[in-house]
Amino acid sequence: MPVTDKQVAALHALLTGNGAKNRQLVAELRSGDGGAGYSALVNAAFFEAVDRRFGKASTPASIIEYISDVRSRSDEIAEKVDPGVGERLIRKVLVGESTDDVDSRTSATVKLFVLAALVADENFGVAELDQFLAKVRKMADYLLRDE
Amino acid sequence: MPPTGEELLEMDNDKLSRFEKFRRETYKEIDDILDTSEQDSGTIEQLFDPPPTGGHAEVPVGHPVVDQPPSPGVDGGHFVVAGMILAIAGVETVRAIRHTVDKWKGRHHAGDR
Repeated sequence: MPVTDKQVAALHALLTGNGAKNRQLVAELRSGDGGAGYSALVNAAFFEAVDRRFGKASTPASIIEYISDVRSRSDEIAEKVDPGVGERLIRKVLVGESTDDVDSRTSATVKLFVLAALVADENFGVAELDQFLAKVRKMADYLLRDE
Repeated sequence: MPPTGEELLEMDNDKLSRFEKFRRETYKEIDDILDTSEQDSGTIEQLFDPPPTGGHAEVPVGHPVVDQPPSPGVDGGHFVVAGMILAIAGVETVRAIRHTVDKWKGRHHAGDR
């Protein structure tokens, strides 16, 4: 089943700092069996955002530095973002490192926080964010399609 | 024939194979992604807050700002006082000279008699 507009709207709310709208839409997705599409969107958006930021030029030090910078933004964020998992998830995008041993709750949490930080740092305008979401929607559809 | 992943996503084979690794996570993390979104979206909002601007400058702990006493200097008041002292000193000097001269003249006249 392809990604729906509501799933995209939920991710849009998250990536524009509208937590209340995100919570409302996610609750609706949960009750309506829309979780898979939203999860595919988050994973595709994480992959694309990391590739944009680090794909062309990155060093192990720049990845460590970035995760450290994200964690420094508040005590609550530092508590949520495990630095080792954050670095490994970025390397998973860049070089295919395995994260199979990371529990899914930690992986999901770190992914959402790092994704939001990467998008916030991009300072997208309205049109750029729409382009980004259109691209990750296509990528998410690919993750959801039957092999 | 449907387009391949490479054609569909305009990715080279290497990038596509790295992206494919997220397919399993997409299904494995459904509940965790929904839970984290619902529970932590308020904290995630902090990432979009503008950095603090303006306001007062932060003062490092242990280094309190203390007003420095004004450095000593010469102002208009000092010139007035100095002028008055010089004037008094001048008047007194003139008076003393006159007194000495008068005294000398008095002795001189007394000697003439």
